[in-house]
Amino acid sequence: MIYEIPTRYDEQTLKITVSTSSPQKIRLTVRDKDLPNTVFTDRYKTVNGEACFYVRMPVSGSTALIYVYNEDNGNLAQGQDNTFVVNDISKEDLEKKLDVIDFTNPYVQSFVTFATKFCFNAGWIASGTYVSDDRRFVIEYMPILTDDSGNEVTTPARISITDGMMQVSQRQFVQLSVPNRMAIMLHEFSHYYLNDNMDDEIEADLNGLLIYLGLGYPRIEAYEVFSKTFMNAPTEENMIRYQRIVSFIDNFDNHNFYFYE
Amino acid sequence: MDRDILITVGFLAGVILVYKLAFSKQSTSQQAASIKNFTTSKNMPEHLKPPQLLFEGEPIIVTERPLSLYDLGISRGFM
Repeated sequence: MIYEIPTRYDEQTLKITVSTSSPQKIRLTVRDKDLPNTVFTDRYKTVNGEACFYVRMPVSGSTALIYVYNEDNGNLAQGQDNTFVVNDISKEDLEKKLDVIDFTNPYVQSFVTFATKFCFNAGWIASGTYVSDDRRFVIEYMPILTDDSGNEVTTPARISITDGMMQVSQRQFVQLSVPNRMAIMLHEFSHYYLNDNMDDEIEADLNGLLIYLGLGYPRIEAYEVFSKTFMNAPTEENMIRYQRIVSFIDNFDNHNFYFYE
Repeated sequence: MDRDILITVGFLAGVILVYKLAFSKQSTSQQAASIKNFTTSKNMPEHLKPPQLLFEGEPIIVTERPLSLYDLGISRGFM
């Protein structure tokens, strides 16, 4: 089933209530109606009885399309799949924690604005070099990222240690959700602009996540993007990083978060 | 007599019509999810418009890290 919802560029949380009479794997995808490759979430839940999907959307387009379907049956037209019922779709306020973000740091404010524009539109803009309005940040949006030998690398984005210029793989970014992209860009930003030790991946993960979570982006999309990235490089260091990320997100939502130092 | 029959038939037709209308409305509302709290569209805000392209030769502001890169034993590269 596909529902068309006027999201009118607002920040919001969508609440979608689904019920089933037996355990069913229900897939939920929210995408922009007008912009290609612009997805806000793509997730599933095994529902037995009634369940709510909450989709945090710090950014949205004019109109969203909500796809809800049983994974076993595929996306059938309304009335053709009696294994589940969509009871209700409503719009709620977005919960944010802006006080955890150091907006007194001028780089943070400027980069969040630039990264929001970039991530929201990365699904359809051309490759090229993009610059923030204040000209402090530059993103080279490249068809693919390569190593010194010209071979494609698996990393979706990287930042120069000499001048803070970022390079982003268009091939990888068009496939990612808007929140996925934002989590990656904030990680790269943190390396150069926030970290005490620029080379520390965990420090960059947590500095970036603090901003990401504070802005109200969905938790599930953060887990997803890091797990996807680490699956491409399943090292012991990345296993430790993932555990720290999971713990950090849990603590953040339980109000036990701490500032990485 | 004919007038009574006409009134009776008219009354029954009215009851059937009202029942059909009510029934069709109920089945539609059972199929569709209720959609609440949404209003009409507005214009795209500035902070969601596409970023601007940097053209060759245009100036940018390069931010230098306070920490020396040489302390890290790195002279050039990406993270």
